[in-house]
Amino acid sequence: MKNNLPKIWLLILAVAVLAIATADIWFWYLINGANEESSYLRGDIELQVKKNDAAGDLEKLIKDTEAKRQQIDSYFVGVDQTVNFVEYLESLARVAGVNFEITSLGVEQSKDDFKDQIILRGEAAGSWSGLMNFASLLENAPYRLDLADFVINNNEGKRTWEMAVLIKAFQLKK
Amino acid sequence: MPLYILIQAKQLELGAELTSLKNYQGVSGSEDVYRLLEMANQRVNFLSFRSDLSLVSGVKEILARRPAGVIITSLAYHPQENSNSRLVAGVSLKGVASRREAIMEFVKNLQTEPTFSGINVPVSSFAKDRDIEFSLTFIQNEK
Repeated sequence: MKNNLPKIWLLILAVAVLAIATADIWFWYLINGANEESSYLRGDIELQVKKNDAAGDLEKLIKDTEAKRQQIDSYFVGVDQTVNFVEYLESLARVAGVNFEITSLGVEQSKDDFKDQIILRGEAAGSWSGLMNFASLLENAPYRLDLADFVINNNEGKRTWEMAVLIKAFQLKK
Repeated sequence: MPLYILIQAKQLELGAELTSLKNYQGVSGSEDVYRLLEMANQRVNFLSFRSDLSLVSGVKEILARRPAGVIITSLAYHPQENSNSRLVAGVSLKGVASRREAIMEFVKNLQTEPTFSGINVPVSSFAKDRDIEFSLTFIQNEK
């Protein structure tokens, strides 16, 4: 019995050392894994911060350019603004002192994804200078519009001239 | 072991931070931002291509070159794309001239305007020698 005691202690010590060593290795492995994962997370966070910064910059750009984008849109007839547009053209005729009558009005679907084309035919009557003023007001209207066809004549030799015009304007899609 | 616990805690903290950052992006809607910018770009591109052809300035040039004895009774203006995909306007004029020379002078004067080209007067316009009803056509080009 006396001879076995040191051996038992030695065995216990050996088991304890082995257990501690195993635990060390196990914790080292866990810590290493956790460190690696933290490093990936840090990388993801950095990337996300950059993404958010870029998104923030874009949002700021959107806010800063809001007035200018509204101004750009104002060159187009708004989605539900056809009546306002027609009334605007009629008001130009009144300013020019000519009688203006719309003979046809239609919307042509356009292939692109932001605008359609308004096609308006009209006839006007008045003095030469009145009709030229009207044409000038149309050309300088705060809308993007084209005078696609224009005829003015005075075959009868009277003071009143007659004008026929085809106006193309652009309407934003819904 | 305490080190491991500390690292675990830090890891949780980083995970929460990442989630919060990702949520921030979700709220900002960067796809909407790109769509808005794309739309603005399309519109600007469309608006920036505008021809400098002008009916009123064309008419002013015509009237400035009209000699005495020529009366214009009709003017037609029709913008269209030419073979080079450039916008030009076909102009057709009708009028009454007191004599043949007045028409010739009118044509010569119109030829001095560099934006006008292809001036054409049908020979039938010269059939009469007085109070001639004439017509002429030409092209107005961009400056």
